[in-house]
Amino acid sequence: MKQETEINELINRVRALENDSIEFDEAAIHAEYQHIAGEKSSLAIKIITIFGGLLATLALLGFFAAASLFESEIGCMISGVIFIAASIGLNKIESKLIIDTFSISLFVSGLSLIGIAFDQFNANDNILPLAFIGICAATLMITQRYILSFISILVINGSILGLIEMHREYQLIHIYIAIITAILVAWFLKEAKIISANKKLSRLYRPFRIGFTISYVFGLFLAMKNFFNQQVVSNTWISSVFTISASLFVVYILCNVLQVKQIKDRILVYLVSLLVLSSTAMMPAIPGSILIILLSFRVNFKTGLAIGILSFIYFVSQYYYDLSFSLLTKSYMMLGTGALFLLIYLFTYKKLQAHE
Amino acid sequence: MTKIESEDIHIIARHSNWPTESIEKTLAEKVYSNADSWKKFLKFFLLTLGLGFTVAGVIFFFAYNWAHLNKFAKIGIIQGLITIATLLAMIPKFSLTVRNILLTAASLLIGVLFAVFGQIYQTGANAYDFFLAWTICITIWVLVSNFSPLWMLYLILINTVIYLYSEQVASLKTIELYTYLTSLNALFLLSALFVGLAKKNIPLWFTNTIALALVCFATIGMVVGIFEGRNLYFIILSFITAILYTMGTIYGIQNKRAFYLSIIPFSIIIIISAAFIKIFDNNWGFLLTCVFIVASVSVLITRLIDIQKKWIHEAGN
Repeated sequence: MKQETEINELINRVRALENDSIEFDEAAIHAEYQHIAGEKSSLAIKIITIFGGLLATLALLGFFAAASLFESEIGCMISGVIFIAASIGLNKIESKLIIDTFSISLFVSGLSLIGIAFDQFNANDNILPLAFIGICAATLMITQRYILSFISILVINGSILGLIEMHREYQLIHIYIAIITAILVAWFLKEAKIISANKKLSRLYRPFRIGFTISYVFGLFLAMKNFFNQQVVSNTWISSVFTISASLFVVYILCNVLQVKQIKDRILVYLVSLLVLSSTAMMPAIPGSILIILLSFRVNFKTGLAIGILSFIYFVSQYYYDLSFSLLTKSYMMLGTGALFLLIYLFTYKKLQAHE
Repeated sequence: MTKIESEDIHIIARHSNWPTESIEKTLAEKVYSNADSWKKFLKFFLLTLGLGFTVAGVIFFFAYNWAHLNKFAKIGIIQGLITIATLLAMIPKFSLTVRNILLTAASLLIGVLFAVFGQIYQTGANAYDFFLAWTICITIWVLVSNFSPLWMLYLILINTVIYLYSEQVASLKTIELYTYLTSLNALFLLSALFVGLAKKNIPLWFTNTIALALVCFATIGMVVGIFEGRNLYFIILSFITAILYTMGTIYGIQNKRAFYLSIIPFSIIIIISAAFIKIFDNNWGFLLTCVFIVASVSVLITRLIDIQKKWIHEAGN
C-alpha cells in the first residue's frame, strides 16, 4: 500500500522526466491508489473469490434443478438475463472486491441458464455461441473489472472455438490462429500505446493479456495435427507460418535489446532461429508456445511465462508422441535436437555473459 | 526511493497526458527485461533444452532396447545409476544443494528399481507393498539429507502407502481412512512447525503444502461423514478437526499467516454448506446454501483484507 508521500514522489519523478510539460489529474490518481489499497489482495483471496463464486453458482443451479425450474425455457431465459444484468449492475454500482464473488456467480449462472434455455428451445446451434459472444462483448464495454473481463474474454474465445468445432470447419482454425497471434503480439509490444489510448482500454489491458494468452493456448491445442488422434486439421503449416513469423519478429526485437549490430551476426541469428522453428512446422503449437514465452519474458509477465513453459512442455511431448517413427528414431531425433541446443549454448556462451 | 512498477505506470498514464513514447521508454527501463536478464534467460533456456532433449533421447534409447535387455542388464543399469548418484552425493566438493538433489534423484530411482523388479519377477504383490518398500528404503537418506523436497516425496509416499493399504488390504470405510490421513498429516505439520520454531530452516511452501493436504483430507472426511450419517469415526474426526482448526487459526493470527486464515474458514464454509444440503434436502436447502456461501465468503474476504491491512500497518510502524 503506497503512502500519500510516495504517490506524490512518483508523480514528481514522472514530471521531472517530462520537463514539466505534462499535466496530471492528481485527485484521480490519489483516488485510484486509495481504491486499490482497499483491495490489494493476495493470491489466496483471489482463489477464494473465484472458488466461492463457483460453489455458490453450483448451489444456485442445484436449487433450479431441485425446484424443476429448468423445465420452463422462458423461465430460464428470463432469470438468465436478469442474473447477467444484476451481475454487471452490481459491478457498476460498487466495484469492490467482495462484490466479485457475488457478481461472478451471477454471471456464470446467468450464462448457464441462457444455455439451458436455448437447448430447450431447440434453436439453431449457432445462436448460443453467438449470443454468448454478444453478451460478453457488451459486458466488456460496460464494465472493466478484472475477473469479469477475464471470464468474458475466455467465453468469447471459447465460443469462437466452439463454433469451429461444432461445424468441423477446422480450416478456419488457421484464421483464428493468425488473428490471435497478431492481437497477442500487438497487445504485448504496444502496451504504452494501449494504456494511454483511453481509460477503458487501459483498465482492460491486464485481463485481456491473460485472457488472450490462455485462449491462444486453447487455439493452438485445437490446431494440433492429431487432435484427439484424428487427423482433422489439414495444412497445419498455414498456422505455422503465422506462429513462426511472429516468433521471428520477437527475435528481431530481441536482437535490438541485446544490441546485435553486425549484419553478419544478425543473419546468423535469424537463420538459426528459422531453422529451429521451421523444424516444428508440422506442429504450429510449438512455435506458438515459444512465442508466448518470449513475449512474456520481454514484458516481465510471470503468469504468461509459466503458461508458456507448461504449454511448451506439453506440446513438445505431444509432438514426439504423435510422430509415427519407432522409439529408436525418436531417440536419435531427440539426441540430435539436444546436441544442437548444447552447441548453440557453447557457441553463444561468451557472448551471453552478463556485464555485471 | 520508491520503485516504479507497471501498475504505477498504468495508473499515472490513465490520469495524465503522458506521451506514449515516454511511457514506452519508462516501461522499457523500469519494467521490461533488459539485456542482462535476457542473456541469463537465453543461457538457461538453451542449456535446459539441450540437456532436456539429450536426457529424453537417452531414456528413449533405453526404452526402445528395454525389451531386448536381459534381467541382469535391466536391474544393473538402474542400480548402477543409483550407485553413481549416491557416490556423487558423497563428494564434499559439490555444494550441499547439488548433493541433496543427487540424493533425491537416487531416491526416485529406488522407486524405478522396485517397479522394474516387480515387472521382471511378476511378484504379484499389492501395489502398497511396492510403495512401502520404497518408503522404507529411502528413510535413511531422507533423515541424512534433511532436504525439504526429499521430505515432501517421503510424506507423499507415506500417504500413498496408507491410502493403497486401506483400498487393497484393510478395506477401511472412507471416513475411517480420512480420519487417519487427517491425524497423520496433522502430526507431520505439528512436527514441522515445531522443528521450524527451533531452527527456522523449514521453507514456507513445505508447511503450507502439508497444511493444504491436511485441510483437504479433513474437509473430504467431514463432508463424507455428513452424508454417510453418524458413526464413531465421524465424531472422532469432528473432534480432531475442531481442535486442529482452532490451533491453526490461533497460529495464523499470531504468526501472520494469511494462508491458514484463508483455507481453514473456506473449509468450514464447505462443511457447513454440505450440512445445509443434507439437513434440508430440498430445493430451499440449495437456495439457502447459495445465500450462505455468498454471504460467508464475502465476510471472509472482508475480514482477510482488514487483517492484512492491519498487518501492513503494524509492519510500517
